[in-house]
Amino acid sequence: MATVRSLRRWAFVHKWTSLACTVFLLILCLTGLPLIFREELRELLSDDPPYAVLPADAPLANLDSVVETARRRHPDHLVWFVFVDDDEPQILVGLLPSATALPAEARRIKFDARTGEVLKEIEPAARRPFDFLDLMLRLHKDLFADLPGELFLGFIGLLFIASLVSGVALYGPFTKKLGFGAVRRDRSRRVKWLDLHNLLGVVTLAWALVVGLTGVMNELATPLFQIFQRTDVQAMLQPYRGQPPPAPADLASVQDAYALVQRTMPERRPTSVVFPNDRIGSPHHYLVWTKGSSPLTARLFTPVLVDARTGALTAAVQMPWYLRALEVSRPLHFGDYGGLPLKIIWALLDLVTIVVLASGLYLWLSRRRSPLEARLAELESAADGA
Amino acid sequence: MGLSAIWRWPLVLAGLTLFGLLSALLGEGGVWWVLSWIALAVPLLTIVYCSVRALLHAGGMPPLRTTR
Repeated sequence: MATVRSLRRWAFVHKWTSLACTVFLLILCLTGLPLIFREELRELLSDDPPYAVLPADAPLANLDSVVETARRRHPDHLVWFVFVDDDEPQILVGLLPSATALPAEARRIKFDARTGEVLKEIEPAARRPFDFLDLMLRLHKDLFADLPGELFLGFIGLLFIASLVSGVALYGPFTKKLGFGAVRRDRSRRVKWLDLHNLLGVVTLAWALVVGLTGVMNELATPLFQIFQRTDVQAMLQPYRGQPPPAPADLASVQDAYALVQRTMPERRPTSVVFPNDRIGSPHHYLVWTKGSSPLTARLFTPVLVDARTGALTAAVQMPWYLRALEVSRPLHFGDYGGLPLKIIWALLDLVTIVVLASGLYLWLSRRRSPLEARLAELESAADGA
Repeated sequence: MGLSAIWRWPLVLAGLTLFGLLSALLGEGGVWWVLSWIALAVPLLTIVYCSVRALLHAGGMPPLRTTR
């Protein structure tokens, strides 16, 4: 019988893709749980000095003087970026020890966004002991293995999706004789857990598919940004080819660059200014990241290039489709776009996924003759009898 | 059980999930958030409902039949 043969194939795919990814997926689910609440936890664990109490419409400090303060404190460093938060009244200035230094070597200084006072010096991640959330994030994102780790976990995500799809193919035949959501408690423990595995799996299927796919997308962020930098950004920088990049002393005012973008694109909000560099961005420009104001467009960033020598607006960069897809993938993976109730739902769905994974593992470990085999044999004999 | 009976509830729940995921993302806060919470809570409540039903009918009651 052809359907039985195809079922056997799906069972084979489900068994092996699940076995290959379960342990890693358990790590991802467990480390993802606190990450859902990272904003709340960070606030709770923070020992930063409080912000000055000022009226809500107090103007922003001048970015040039903020950057100047940062430079004076670390004259041997290069300014990498200025980030103007819109959640909290803070400005972060990132500094690198050299033009080729890794992001983990960056130190940051936190300023009060209105007074321009230094609130905190944040040591480079490479030199700072991991705090709990750092640890969870690294385990979740790359298992402490940087890009290879990201790509590996992306591949694990693909296995997870294959396991979900094959699980769907098996769900129909397995639950045909039962009603939806039946959990047989009168039979063996394994039957009960098989029913629960089917129920919890199918109920959370769409969520698991979305979080799985967007997780894979997030793991591809590094290569996607490199493609963007090597193609679109390089094409925009064509007219500047051969010119020496501006020396730090020749840089136009950051404050003016920020204000220029604010004036030119009143519907968008500039969030950060990346200083001229060779990595992501341009050696000749300030790269000003801007975002929209609706829940969705606030996730869609558009970089604007401002000539770092003349201070003139060069262009707003059109983001390619794959980076737009990456940007939409972030909220759908993090679950941080619908308030605390959405985060709680996210956490509960994550817990259900852990039960699905664990019960799947249990069903495999406790197989004498796996229920899958038994069920297939049953179907086969039924087909023979017909 | 026919194909439609097997897949009716899974499809309804998948539809609600996708609606819930998108409404908070595309809608402008407020009511869209609340709709999102409700839609995404349904799959979770389904699990609670089916588990409680299984506990109450420990004798292996087939689902959706209320008399012994």
